[in-house]
Amino acid sequence: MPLCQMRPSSSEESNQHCLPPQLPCAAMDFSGFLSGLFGGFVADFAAGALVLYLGYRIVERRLRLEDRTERLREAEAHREQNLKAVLGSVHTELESNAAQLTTALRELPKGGIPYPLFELTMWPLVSDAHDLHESRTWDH
Amino acid sequence: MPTIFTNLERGTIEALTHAYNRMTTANEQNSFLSDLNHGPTAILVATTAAGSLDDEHVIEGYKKFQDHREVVRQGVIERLNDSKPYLDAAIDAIQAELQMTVECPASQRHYEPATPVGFIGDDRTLPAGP
Repeated sequence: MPLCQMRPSSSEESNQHCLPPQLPCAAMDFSGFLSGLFGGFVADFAAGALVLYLGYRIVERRLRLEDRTERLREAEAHREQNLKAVLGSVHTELESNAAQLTTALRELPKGGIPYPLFELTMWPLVSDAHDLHESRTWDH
Repeated sequence: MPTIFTNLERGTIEALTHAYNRMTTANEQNSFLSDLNHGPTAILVATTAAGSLDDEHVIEGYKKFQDHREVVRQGVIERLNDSKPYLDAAIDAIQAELQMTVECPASQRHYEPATPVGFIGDDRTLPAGP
C-alpha cells in the first residue's frame, strides 16, 4: 500500500489529534483544581510551619529558661559549698589561733616567746575573694 | 566589698574584721619582741655589750634595753588579752554561720594546742627532722 494511502483521513486525524470541543473547559477546571490544591497546600504548609516555628520558639525559650534556672541553681549550690568550705577553714584557723593564744599567755610571762604567733592565712581569702568568685562565674 | 562578705551576716563581718586586725597587730608586736629577744637586734646588743660589761655606762644601757624589752613583752601580753574576746566572738560568729551546734560559747571553752610548745634545741618537744 502506498504511504499516502496509509495516512488517516482528515476526519480520523481530527478524531485522534484534536481536542474535542468540551475539553478546554475541563482543562481549565483541572488547572483551577491544581492551582487551588497547590495554593491550599502552600497555605497549609505555611500555617503549619508558622505553628511549628512558634511552638519551637516557645519550647526553646522554655527550655532555655529552665536551663538557665538550672544553671543558676547549680551556681548557687556551688557558691554555698565554696562559702562553707572557706568558713570551715576560717573556723579551723581561728580555733588554732585560740589555742596559740592560750600558749602565748602562759609562756610570755615566763620569758618564752611563741613564734610565729597567729596564722592569718585565711584573712586575704575572706576579705578579698573577688578573683575567686569571678573566675567561677566565668565558667557559667 | 569582697564577694564573700556579701554572703555573711553583718555581725560576722565585724567580728572577723576585729579579730583579724588584732591578731595582725599582735603578730607585729610579737615579731618586734622576738627581734629584741633573739633576733638581729638582740645579737647586736649582746655582742656590743659583751666586751665591756664592767663599764657601768654599758651596764646601764644594757639594763635599759632589757627594761624596754620587758615593756614590749607586757605590751604583747596586753594585746593578747585584748584580742581574746574578739577572737572568741569571731569563733562564735563563724559557728553560727556554719550552723554548728556547740555546747558553750568559745569564751567558756579552753583551747589547747594539739602539740606541746617547742623550744629551739629542745629534742623532747620539737619534731624529729627529715
